[in-house]
Amino acid sequence: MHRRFHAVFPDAETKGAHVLKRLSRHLVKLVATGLLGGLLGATLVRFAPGFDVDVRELDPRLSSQSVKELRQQRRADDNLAYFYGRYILNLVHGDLGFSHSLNQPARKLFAQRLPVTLREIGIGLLFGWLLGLGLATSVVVLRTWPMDLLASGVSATLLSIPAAVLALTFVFLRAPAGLAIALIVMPKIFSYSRNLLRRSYSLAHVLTARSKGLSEVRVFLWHVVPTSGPQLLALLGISVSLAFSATIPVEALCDLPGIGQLAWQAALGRDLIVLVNVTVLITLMTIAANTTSDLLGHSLARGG
Amino acid sequence: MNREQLMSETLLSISLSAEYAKKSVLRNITFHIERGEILGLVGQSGCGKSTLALAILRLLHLKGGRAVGIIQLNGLDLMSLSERQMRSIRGKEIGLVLQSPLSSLNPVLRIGTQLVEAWDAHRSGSRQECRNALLESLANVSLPAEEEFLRRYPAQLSVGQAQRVLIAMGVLHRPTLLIADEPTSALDVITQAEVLGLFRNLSKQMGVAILYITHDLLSVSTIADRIAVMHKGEIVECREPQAIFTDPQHAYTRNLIAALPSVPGLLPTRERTYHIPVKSHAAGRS
Amino acid sequence: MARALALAFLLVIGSASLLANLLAPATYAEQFRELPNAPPSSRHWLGTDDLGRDRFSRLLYGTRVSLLLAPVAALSSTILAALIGGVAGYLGGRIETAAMWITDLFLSLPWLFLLVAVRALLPLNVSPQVSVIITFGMLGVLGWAGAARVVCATSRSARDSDFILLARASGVKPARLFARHIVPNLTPALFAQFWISIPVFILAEANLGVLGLGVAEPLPSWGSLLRELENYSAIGSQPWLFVPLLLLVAVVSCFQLVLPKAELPA
Repeated sequence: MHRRFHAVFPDAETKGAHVLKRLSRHLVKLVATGLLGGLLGATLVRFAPGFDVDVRELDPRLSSQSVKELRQQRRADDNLAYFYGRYILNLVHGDLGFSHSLNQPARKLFAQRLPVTLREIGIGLLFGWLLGLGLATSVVVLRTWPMDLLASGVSATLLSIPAAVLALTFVFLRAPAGLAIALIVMPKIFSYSRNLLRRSYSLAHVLTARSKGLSEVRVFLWHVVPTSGPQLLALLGISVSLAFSATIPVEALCDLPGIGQLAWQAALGRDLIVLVNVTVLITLMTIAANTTSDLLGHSLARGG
Repeated sequence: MNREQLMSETLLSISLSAEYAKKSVLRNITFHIERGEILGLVGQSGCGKSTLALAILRLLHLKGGRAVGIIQLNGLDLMSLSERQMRSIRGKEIGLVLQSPLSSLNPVLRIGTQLVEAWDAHRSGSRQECRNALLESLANVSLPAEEEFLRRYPAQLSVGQAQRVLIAMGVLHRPTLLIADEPTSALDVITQAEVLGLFRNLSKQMGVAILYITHDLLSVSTIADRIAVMHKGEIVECREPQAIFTDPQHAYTRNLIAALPSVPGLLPTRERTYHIPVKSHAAGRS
Repeated sequence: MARALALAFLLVIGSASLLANLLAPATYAEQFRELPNAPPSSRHWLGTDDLGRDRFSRLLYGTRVSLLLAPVAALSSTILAALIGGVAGYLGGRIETAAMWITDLFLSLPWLFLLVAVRALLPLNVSPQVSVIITFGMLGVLGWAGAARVVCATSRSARDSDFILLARASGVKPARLFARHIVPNLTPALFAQFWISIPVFILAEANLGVLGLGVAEPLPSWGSLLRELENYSAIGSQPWLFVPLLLLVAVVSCFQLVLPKAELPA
């Protein structure tokens, strides 16, 4: 049994170790990026104009003792090392700061709002890819120019509309916000995959496959898709970033309690630490998505 | 049937015009191929040779071209067939071998998978039958007839080996016609000679006719029964190699032959009658 | 043919906005208090908004801000991309790896998150002129990442090409090599990136404007003009509110038409 396994997968053990090594390398990169990004963001916050004015001081409900403590805290923050230290300590304890605009600890807000955003992005990416890739495939395989013209026209128009306006449309139509994200993401997926599939179709080995008398379906699935696969996976990573980006206008305008809205309100209320931490966390998620698609792409390209 | 009897039948008869994006590439090109014959199609790059290969297989629309005319294969007009019918002809009655062997093979599939795919397209049968046929086809092209070889990926082959795999795929179903489009352009001279010999042997063994498309007049003359010279989308001359070399009729053929390299004092020098044509060539790269 | 038309359209709109001072019947802040929310008339071609300001004038001035500053920001980001990507690709090795790593990191940051975060770090209550500088300055400084990858790859392939090998073999110094031989080869890619960035920045400014993080009142920009569309009850009865959106879509489409081969940087 073991022998048979090795007959089918001769280099399974080394391959497995290889993948694990790669994975751990990416994980280290991820953590390092998160830390560096957080420190960089914190630095920017520290030197941002208006840092030394704490709006909490203006709150008449605070006693003079609390105000004194706030002032002392800020003077301590003047020491950069202390500031960084406190920031990292907070991070380790999972304290992401306090949102004044929403009057709750950021960590709680993040935990509450992440599922909302993830669901919306999930719907958005699912439909965006279905529509975008499906349309691209039909256009390339069917090769009828009216369809190509129509699809390209719709895609170009959607690309020219600001995400915020698309979000407004969906508020007006009272349609689910996830679909707004789908429409924002779809045109880029369509145009990129259409060009990619077209290029793959013109490759020499596809001609060889055709000359063998293979069916269109077989040519597409076995010869066009495998060569487009890695780049389509890279596009997947990019589309995740695009979807996250779109959540800010969509959630802000559709009034969805998600991460995008959190970032927007933190920006308007200048809850800078919260904003920085949220941005870093979202970036980490995007990087993780990109890394996953990269790894998948590599294993595909290696003929696994 | 011996070779003479086989050769007396016309296998493929063509009268074709083709265009790409409104530009005419093939102008009423007319020729025929006898059963079991090796016809060398010689011409410079851009004269429409590859267009002809695609047009015969009715794959020209993939490159955005259009062909009109008649393609008679064994009395059957290919231009009148549906796509489905053409698919049963491709790979089975007509085989195709392309240049650049390493890009003509799918890089993510094993050689064995690609050969099995070619087999399954036109035959059903047991796995054992298929396996035997594949190993036999490898032996026919002088490749190691082993399971290990079938498990390799194209990137693990040399250029010469990859070309032989392509040829094996092309003749897997023993087609009546094999179209080879510049099959040796990517090879070094020695491997080229080996592959040329391979084509000759396959033709003798299986009786397959070969349309050998190339720009190299000399090398194809070593195996061709007849040579068709192509210039600006037309066949200007079509005779036996001997006749072409000793008594070229058309001006372009004469230029071709005169342009062949000759080493003074070592190989017999040909008479240099290189006429500079009156019409400028710059206008016409189709 | 379509490209020529698109280019002509862009030129017309651009010139009209440049001449806003001459063409606009009113200034962008002038309030006609007695005529708030007026429908289009011969005096106010697109009517007035709820503060009585002439919409057509505001559209002209807004177009001047958005249409003319986006290319300036695009120029700045392209120059940055040229410097970072071009030099990294040319020098190769660790420098290139490090530069591309930073670029990838930048690209992983969702675009709007980056813009919103950086905008918030700067003071929010600023004068309109400063807000314009902040908005387009941000785009110019942050938008280089997408172009940098392409420029780096182009620079690298130029460096590895045969004619550079030839120049090196003739003893040309590296700096001169870069300036005289590499840079001219980057120009087509740079120009393409410049042209692609313009609609991206126009849309970014529009998004920021609708979110309230763009150009401050009373200075109009396409973003702030689009905020009027948030009034759902009104847009049914006031279809002329869509004119800024239609203009934006038309202009962005024209930019895309003129350079149709644009793809996503992968």
